[in-house]
Amino acid sequence: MTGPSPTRRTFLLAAGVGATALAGCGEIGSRSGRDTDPIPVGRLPDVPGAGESKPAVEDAVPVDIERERLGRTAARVTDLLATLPTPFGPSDVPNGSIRHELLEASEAATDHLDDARSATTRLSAMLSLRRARAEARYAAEGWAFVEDGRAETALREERRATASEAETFRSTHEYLGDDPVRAAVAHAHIERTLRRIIEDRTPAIGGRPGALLTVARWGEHAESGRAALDDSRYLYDRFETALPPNAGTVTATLGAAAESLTADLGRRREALPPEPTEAGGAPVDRLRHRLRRDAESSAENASGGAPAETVVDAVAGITAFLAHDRVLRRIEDGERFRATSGSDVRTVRSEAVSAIRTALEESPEPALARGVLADAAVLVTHADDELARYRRSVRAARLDAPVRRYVAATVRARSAPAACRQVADAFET
Amino acid sequence: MTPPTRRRLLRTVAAAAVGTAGCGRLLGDESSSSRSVSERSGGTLPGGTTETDPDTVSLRGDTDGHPIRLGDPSGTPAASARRGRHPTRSSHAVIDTRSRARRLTVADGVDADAVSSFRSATAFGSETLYLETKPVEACFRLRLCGISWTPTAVRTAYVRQRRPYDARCSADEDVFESRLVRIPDGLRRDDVDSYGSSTSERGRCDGDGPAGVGRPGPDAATGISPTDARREGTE
Repeated sequence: MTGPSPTRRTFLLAAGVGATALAGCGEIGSRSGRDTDPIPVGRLPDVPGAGESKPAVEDAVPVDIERERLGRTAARVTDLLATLPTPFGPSDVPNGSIRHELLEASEAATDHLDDARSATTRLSAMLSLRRARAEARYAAEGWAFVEDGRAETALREERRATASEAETFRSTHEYLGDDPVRAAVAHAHIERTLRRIIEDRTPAIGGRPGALLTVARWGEHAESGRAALDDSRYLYDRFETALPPNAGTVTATLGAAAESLTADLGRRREALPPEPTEAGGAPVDRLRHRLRRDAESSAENASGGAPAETVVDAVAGITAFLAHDRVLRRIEDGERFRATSGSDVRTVRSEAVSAIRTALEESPEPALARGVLADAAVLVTHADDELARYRRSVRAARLDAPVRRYVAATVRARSAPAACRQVADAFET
Repeated sequence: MTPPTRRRLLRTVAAAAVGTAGCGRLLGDESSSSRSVSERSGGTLPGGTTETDPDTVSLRGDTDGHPIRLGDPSGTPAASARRGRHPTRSSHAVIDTRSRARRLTVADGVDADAVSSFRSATAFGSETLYLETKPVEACFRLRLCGISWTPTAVRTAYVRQRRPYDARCSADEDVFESRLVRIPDGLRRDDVDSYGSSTSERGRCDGDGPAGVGRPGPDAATGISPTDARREGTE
């Protein structure tokens, strides 16, 4: 693991942020000059460098994932990477672009290993390691194409066999548990992972059949499927093992909750006010439209899913409706979600991070809220990445997108506890 | 959250493009020689004609200059191909007469016969040559998906394909590809005042190209420069 990366502000100091001052940007934040006065980046939130921002909250499952299990997966990654020659040069793969692809995959695998080491939850570490396995296999199979004449056929078959095993596993999935909330979160993760293995049969391939990178891509696809299935089985077994001997199933509870929550989302959708006809491209319109679309699609997609996934997704769905309501109220109060100064951006970012942390503490069932809050936290990192692109100064209008993301993260986080409460209530009725 | 690597980002973009294309046919199927011409009323050239399988000769050069050039009447390369120390990145020209076609020259070491015979086989008056040169990363090659035209406009659509793994090339270098495309129509150079070209990253031709060109079509006569001894083909 490398040390902490320098923040953008540190970088700017090193790069000579004084130049901005010399350039005469002077005092910023003039309310009257939104479209003309650039805002020096030093006035913006002190975000990490591009790609370095870490989410304030990460997803988790109520399963005791063993450190040794994570270590074994990491070893699989390093074993795969060890198959590549060192150094990896033109004599190995003459095509510089393809060589670059394979090297980049091996670097991505290493990055994901680092992410796993610094993850704040075991599930997050497990997911990073899964990505690391897939990237490492991509590189390894690309090299195996050269070294051993690896073809797609065996890799396609490997993925097909994994999907077939996932189908069998799904057909025997029992909703064991003694607490419906914990069971819903654990089983939803397993359901979702199995569904993706089964549905995502063919990777997106830009190259030709039989080409090196096509084989590499199938290797990645085979590995990601296998890793996802391995993890799902592990989580299922660990969850079951931790249950008391007389624990039954929560199938009926989950099914009834899924049904009532689906109906609830449908009612919320019906009750949405009409969209303003004059809506345009202003930040306020975009934010309102985005949140409304999230809410509507959560209601549309609610029915027909697996029970645990439906219940957990309902937390996000209800959160989306409540967040939409919040934004409508703020719009009525005159807010326009446009930053005119660096201070404005610092405020909205700080509100977002604080709202996410607070919501986790205030949620009646933190396990249910985590997924939604982790998504909101990722939104914050995306906005951070956007801010990190600017080196010297930025026009206020360019801050609309990151501000929108910070505000969306805030209203979602603030809505999450109430959504959790409603979902938890659905288990009682 | 980890930012996607460039590779993963590109893959996502490619996946989205493939998803939109809805075209399962991969390039590399170079056996077809059929010609398809369609009248189109929409797209970027309203009322234009599109050919997805035009007669073509294409030459690949190196980093220094355009493999095919249109010289001025005195025989020296046109200004558009020798501006500054380095050649212009892209260039295009409508060649509507035999005398203008005689001004076509090729770079040293490039297969001049391919150009010469292609020029000779063109019936100027009812056919027109379109010369286009584009830069491409050395580890890639361009494939012409089609050409659209009206009496006043020409559009081309390409896809970029990766070369085989054993083609020795640098990821940081660009080379030039020049193409002569035979348009089965008597365009007049002075009437044409609009040009356009698109290059898709998705690696396959489809019906959604910006030039409005249709299904995949092979380059009819892909001639690779003798100076470029690297194997072309299957990646």
